[in-house]
Amino acid sequence: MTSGNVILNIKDLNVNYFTLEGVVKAVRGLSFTLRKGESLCIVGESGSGKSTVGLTIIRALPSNAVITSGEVVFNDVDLLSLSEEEMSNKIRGKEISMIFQDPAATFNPLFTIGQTLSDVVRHHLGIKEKDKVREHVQSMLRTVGLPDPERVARSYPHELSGGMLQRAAIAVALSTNPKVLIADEPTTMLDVTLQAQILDLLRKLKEEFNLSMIFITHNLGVAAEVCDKILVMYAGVPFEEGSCEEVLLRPIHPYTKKLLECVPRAHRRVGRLRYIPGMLPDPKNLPRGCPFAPRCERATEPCNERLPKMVEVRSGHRVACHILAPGGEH
Amino acid sequence: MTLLNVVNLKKYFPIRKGLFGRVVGYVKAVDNVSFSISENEVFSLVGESGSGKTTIARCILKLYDPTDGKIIFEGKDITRLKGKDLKDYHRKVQAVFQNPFLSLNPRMRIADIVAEPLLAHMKISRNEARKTAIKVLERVGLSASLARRFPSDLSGGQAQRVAIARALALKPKLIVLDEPTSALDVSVQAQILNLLEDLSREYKLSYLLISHDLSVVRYISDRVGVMYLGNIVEEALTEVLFESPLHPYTQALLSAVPEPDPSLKKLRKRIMLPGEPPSSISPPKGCRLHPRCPRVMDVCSKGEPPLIEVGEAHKVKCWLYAKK
Repeated sequence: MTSGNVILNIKDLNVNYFTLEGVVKAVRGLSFTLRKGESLCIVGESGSGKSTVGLTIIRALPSNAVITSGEVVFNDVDLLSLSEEEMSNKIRGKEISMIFQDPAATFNPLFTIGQTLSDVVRHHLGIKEKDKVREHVQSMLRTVGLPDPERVARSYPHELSGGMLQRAAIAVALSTNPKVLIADEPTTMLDVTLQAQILDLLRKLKEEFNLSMIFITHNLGVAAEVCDKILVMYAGVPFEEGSCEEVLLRPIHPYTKKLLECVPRAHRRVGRLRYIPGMLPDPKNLPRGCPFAPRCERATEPCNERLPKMVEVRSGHRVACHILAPGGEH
Repeated sequence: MTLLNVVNLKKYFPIRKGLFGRVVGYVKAVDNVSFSISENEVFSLVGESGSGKTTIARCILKLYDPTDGKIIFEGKDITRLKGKDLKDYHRKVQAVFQNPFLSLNPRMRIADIVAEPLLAHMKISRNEARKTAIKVLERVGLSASLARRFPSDLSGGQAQRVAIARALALKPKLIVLDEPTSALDVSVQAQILNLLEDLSREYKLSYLLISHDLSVVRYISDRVGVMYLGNIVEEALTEVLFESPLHPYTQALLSAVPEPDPSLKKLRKRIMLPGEPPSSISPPKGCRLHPRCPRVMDVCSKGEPPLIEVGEAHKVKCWLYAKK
């Protein structure tokens, strides 16, 4: 593989959470690469480990989480080997930024939007002159489409609506001109018309800033709107990865197929919805083999025994399934 | 036959300020809304946050007293019900809310949760009520072995089934569903939607579905009302509304829903509404959409558009469709 335009390379990542009730294996054997200017969408239901992936990359996992193995290679450096100081000065919020479902998470409620933004600009870009800082702050707020940037800069987070605050959070994330933006369900709390605005904005900024993006969502429609590539996860395990069209139009994994069938559609009339019987597995008590096996009608013996590995089925289309993509033992 | 008839419903919430709670204004959450629901019909109110859809649901459930207007159920105005009639109304109209864990008592066993409304409304023993409860639980797809468990032992989907069983236990006529699947994962949401569909057919139930999710609304509804800032701006049969929406707001709302099928995506044209919905404390004069509307005309800022009948059971509140 040419590493030339690969910006982020995740290799065999495993993350556990230690809780009073037992160990939760949040991510198991995840590998993927992100190229320059590419947007990858991690899709999954609750407990799929999709948010853990984002937090692992910027090394912001809660204290009970342990990365048991794996590498996160960014620009030829394994981020997991860096000290916290190097991480917070050079990488987090500088080279790799993140926005969250709740934009208020980006801001300290006691500081104005302008104060937060100028802090970031001073710390990461080393701009000291007051005028230049202010200029940069204003131009960032304009870039994300906020009307009246002066007023927004003077506002406290609670004075802005959800949509405006998410725009401001995007301004903070992009103010340092990062290489990678991780967006964790950035539109889930917003109404559809605002969601459409924010997705449009992210698409536009991705081009403008030549960003690589990891987009985390549970909504297949949102994934289709913004992404070049899709990675489907279930109970911490990667199941399918490929281009947006490949995964959504020619899915191979039984889970992906079923998931697509059980989404009601607004733009098309559907017959009776198919559904996936049973429920998501208990994260503290995962099945030994493929986590989807108990709900999968095609499951046979190996499914209950061993975790499937990703195999390339078609060019760029990888699937982890003992039945439909056999041979993934190594 | 009409089961529920909402006529010119208004609900204003006073805004109070200062030491003596002087009323300085009103939030006009619901402003002059009328619609009806027939027997065995699924009617949905869809809209974004602040459009007033939940307030309407709460007025119907008698959790709020309307400021003005009538809610007529089986020929009687519910705002005036008393005594036995009132109790009867509460039996016939049930509710399922978004978060089942907030609507189920965490200290009660599942069977008791479902038996409670039976004990309140019927003269039966606790044992009989429990037996009936278990039958209802089985009908909604829960095994009898869960009957002695507590809500905290359940998954989100299972807990929502319990909430549905409790609503169903009294054989109601109308169930108000306020975002019943918004807290669920998609694979579980499909199970619940199918269950709701089966139950409405089996028990000849009517639903009032409150939702912001247009795909859920399309799947389950017979008829839909689209709300914006306290008004119903368009009302039509589901397929008519989704295939040929007329109101600019409905068109924009529909075009904003992300579509998972990349082959359909190219056919769609996006209509962007600039900005965000204004506050319902001082809604724009004239048509409430006019500051954001892509097809705004002079008349829009001057007068409130009437609700215009454009086809069978299809109404639009927009000046574009007014006869010259």
